[in-house]
Amino acid sequence: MSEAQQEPQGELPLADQVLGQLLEQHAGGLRAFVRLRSGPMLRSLESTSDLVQSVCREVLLHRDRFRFPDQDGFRHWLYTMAARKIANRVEYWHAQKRDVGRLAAVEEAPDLGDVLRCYRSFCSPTGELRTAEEIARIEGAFSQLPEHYREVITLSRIAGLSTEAVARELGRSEDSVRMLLFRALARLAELLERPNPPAA
Amino acid sequence: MEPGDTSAAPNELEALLASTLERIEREGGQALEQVCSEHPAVAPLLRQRVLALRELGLIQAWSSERPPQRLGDFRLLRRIGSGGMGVVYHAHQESLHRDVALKLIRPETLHLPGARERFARETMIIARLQHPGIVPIYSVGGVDELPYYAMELVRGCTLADALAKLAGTPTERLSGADLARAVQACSEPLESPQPVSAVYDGTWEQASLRILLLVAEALDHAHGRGVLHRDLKPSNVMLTLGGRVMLVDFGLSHTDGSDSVTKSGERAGSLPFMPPELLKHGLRGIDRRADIYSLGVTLYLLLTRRPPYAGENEIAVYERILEGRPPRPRSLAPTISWEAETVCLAAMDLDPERRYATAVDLARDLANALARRPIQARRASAWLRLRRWIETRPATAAALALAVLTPTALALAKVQEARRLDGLRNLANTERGIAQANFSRSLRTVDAMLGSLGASRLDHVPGVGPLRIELLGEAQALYLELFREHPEQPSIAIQAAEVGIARAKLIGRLESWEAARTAVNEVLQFLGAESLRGQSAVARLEAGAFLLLSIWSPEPADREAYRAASTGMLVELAAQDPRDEAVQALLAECLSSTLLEARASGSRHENLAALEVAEGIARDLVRASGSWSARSILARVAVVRGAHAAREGRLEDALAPLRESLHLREGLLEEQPENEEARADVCESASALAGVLLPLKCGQEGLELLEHAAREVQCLIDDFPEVKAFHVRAADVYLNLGATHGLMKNEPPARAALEHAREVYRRLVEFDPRDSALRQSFGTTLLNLADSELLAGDPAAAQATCAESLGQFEAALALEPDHPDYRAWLAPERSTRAKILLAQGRVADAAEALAEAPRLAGHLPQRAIHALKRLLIAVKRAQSEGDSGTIDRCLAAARLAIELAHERGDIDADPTLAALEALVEER
Repeated sequence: MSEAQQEPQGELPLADQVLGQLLEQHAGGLRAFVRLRSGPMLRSLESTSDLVQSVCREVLLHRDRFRFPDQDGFRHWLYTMAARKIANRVEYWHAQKRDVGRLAAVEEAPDLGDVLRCYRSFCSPTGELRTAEEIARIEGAFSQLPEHYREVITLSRIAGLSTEAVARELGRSEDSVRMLLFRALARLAELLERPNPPAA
Repeated sequence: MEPGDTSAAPNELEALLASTLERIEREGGQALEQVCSEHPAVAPLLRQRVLALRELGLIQAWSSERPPQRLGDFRLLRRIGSGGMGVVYHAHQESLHRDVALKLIRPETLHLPGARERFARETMIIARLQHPGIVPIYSVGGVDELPYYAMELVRGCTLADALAKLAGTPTERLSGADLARAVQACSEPLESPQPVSAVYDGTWEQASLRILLLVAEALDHAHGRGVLHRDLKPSNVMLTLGGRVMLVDFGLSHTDGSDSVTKSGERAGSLPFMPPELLKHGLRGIDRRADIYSLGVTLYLLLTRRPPYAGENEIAVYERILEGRPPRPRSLAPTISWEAETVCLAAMDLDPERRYATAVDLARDLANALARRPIQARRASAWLRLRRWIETRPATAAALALAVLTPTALALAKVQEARRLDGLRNLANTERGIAQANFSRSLRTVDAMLGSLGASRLDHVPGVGPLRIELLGEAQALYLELFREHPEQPSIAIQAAEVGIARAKLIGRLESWEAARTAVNEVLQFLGAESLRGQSAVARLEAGAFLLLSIWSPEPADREAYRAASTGMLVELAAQDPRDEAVQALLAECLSSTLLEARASGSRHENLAALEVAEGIARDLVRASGSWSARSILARVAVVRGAHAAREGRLEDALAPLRESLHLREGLLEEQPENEEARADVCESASALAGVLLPLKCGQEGLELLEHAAREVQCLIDDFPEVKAFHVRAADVYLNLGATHGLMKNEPPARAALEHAREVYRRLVEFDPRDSALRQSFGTTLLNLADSELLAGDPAAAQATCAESLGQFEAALALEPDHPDYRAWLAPERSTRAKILLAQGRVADAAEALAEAPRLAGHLPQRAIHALKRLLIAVKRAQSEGDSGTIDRCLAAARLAIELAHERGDIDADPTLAALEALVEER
């Protein structure tokens, strides 16, 4: 039998297999990223799962545009696409000129366990997150951060982009990214000590 | 904020925390304690906030640094490396007062399923390996459920680090000593200096082969104990200055009989080093030959300093690995030996069955390549390359399926096709037997057979040449058989002749010119039949046959006669029917071929006239049909015109036609990318154009063209090793590349290219000692090489090489005593010889060598002037430092040279001649 005939039948094309693997590897990080970046307003209007799925769909749709020489390159591509998706959704909801406060909050699917796992993969094992309350506390603190602080922390520490990549993304110098990041982390540490503001 | 300040404002505290975080990232966890001791009042708050961030994994330095300082008996000093699941620290074992490398599981991977098991398995695997090339384990333990093992601390660096250190320097300029320096630079400084091991002696290639040999031995030990490494790559090879080469990181390794604990769907290893069977079938599909493959890729990377499969993204790399057609290492670095390239490509063969079966086999061939002994690996044969070529081109393969290529081996195909031919022949015989009148049906049968087997479908398929020759021979015989029975049908004989000419051309390319001449003569013989007289197609075929004989005849006089006959017949035919494109094309080819040879018999005026006619015909053909073959002829005429102008020193005039030819040929290749003749033609035009660009101060452009051509022509040879013309083309390109590098003062690449050209020419001359043009080119290469050797401070070697070049020029001249170019090459030989003699202080000998150069330069005045310039230098040097005897000999030589220069009559006004005369008269 020739080699070609030994190929398993009915599998995805090669490119999609690789993409599938890459997306699977980053699924946890992507969920955490989307939750933290979307903020309470967007989270109340769209579920994280929908947003993540929508990002994945776009990745697959535009797979021919891939120009990632390595894992870091892919990460950069994926998370900047996610960041743009979130920005577009926020813009969309604002453009709807609806009273977003009156929209019924989207019931988050029971995927908090997933988020916990996502966070865990980014956290040291000594401080494993155990409860949904913990997630709420973290997300609450994040949501109180100014946008540029939230942006630099999620890109650098959740998406795991290099300082150089973050600098390129934000249009800043690497030194200024570092300075911004440590200030943002210092502010986040301070906010983590405060009780969460009551939900809207 | 002042130390001890207890009333920090919130924003000040934030700023302090920010700067503390920055220090922690830079200096590690101890920075927090330092800041706290400086600011005791806010210390608790600082600690609390840093802890909160650390718990979220937002402090990078800590997310991978835990545990911080101590593990049982070991004091952790610093992190020295990390992999997918482990972190390695430089640690001190206090009870035994020794430094060790301590490997811990990455804390953040502890929660992953199977992580502990994998770490434990790695520990067990290494513990059972005992080999100088594998770092030994000292002890195994665990603290607070964090497993670790201690091993010998190797004072060195990884091969990847050393290679990164050398990034940017071309491989041609590197030696083993450079690798040793890189290892030293990347390693921790040692208390006492360590001598550099002999592993790094010699060239880059030698050092690379030695290192890989040691890795292969270590790998063989692991394989012998049932351990597959599965992640072999330069970052898992440690080197020390003292010459230890160690295989590290068995984190992904696997033992026979153990269940795989690699997570389902997880890939083992790093993509560029992964064997194709792993990508295709996953971990199930691999065995020890997967490690051999990764070692082959490592060797490739080391030799060329480029990965074999590059791509704009992972998917592209993935696909290229599965395609398995890496650029030949020698096309990237021409200094790599044939043996090293073969070993490398055999180790990373697409098909595991064709790789080395064991690491020890690979080690043996690495040792053979090092010692320049014959290696055992054999390159993929033509049929295998053909099969792979088809596999990567499904559409073409489908088209070819009708013909010969569906079976797995060409040999099988050949047998089957022979049967099929028998079948056809039987069919034809039966047809004749049943009804003689049904002749046309027999003819159609042969046509169909030829259409599906012998014709254009098999064009440009590597390796099927011999089969095509055989098939065309069968077809010719069948046509002739039919013609004998039906002599009233001249078209059958004409078809037989067309097939016969095609067959002869193939024989000329693949076998010998002598056999090709025999084949053409057979065609001419049956074309002479009484019944064919007066057929214009017959005359055209005869003219074509004569043109081929004018190329393939060994005697210059025969070549002349055939060319004259061919030209005469074609001119007559063209006059009868000016629209016959086939005749026009042959005529243009014939005229340009006359010029290309620059025969002594033709005056310059006649040559130029022939060229103009050829160009006119070619342009008419292009205007009339615009066909591929018409443009091909025009490109050929253009390159001949450019070469002619360049030879006469009219460089500006040469530029436009050479550019036109390159442009045309690139377009032709784009239309027929698989046409190997078109590929070779592009190389010819690029090489010719580059030769003109350098003197016109566009050396860089020329260099790029030549480097591209060198890579392309090497690929051609790899695809069609049997075609002599491609080897000749390769040698020409390397000669030009070497000369261009030389003139641009890029000595090492110049030398490498010239040495490569020398080797190819040497083989070609041995193969065909009667080819005068080859000998002339070989001599030219040697002359350039002598110059390079002189520049490298080795006049003795230069002298020997120069003498060898003279031997080749004289041999060319003996074969063709009237060839003006061959005689003219004796002048530069004298110039180079004189240059060497001058370097040796033999001034008078140098002058005497130059004395006859103005006569030897023949029709090329620039060569005479160049010799006179060197003579001027010799005379001046004799006058400034020589004794009277030397001065007298130099002056006598100069007088003779002046006399001969004036005899020429074309350089009387040259200032160099005037200067030389003034010098002699002054004396």
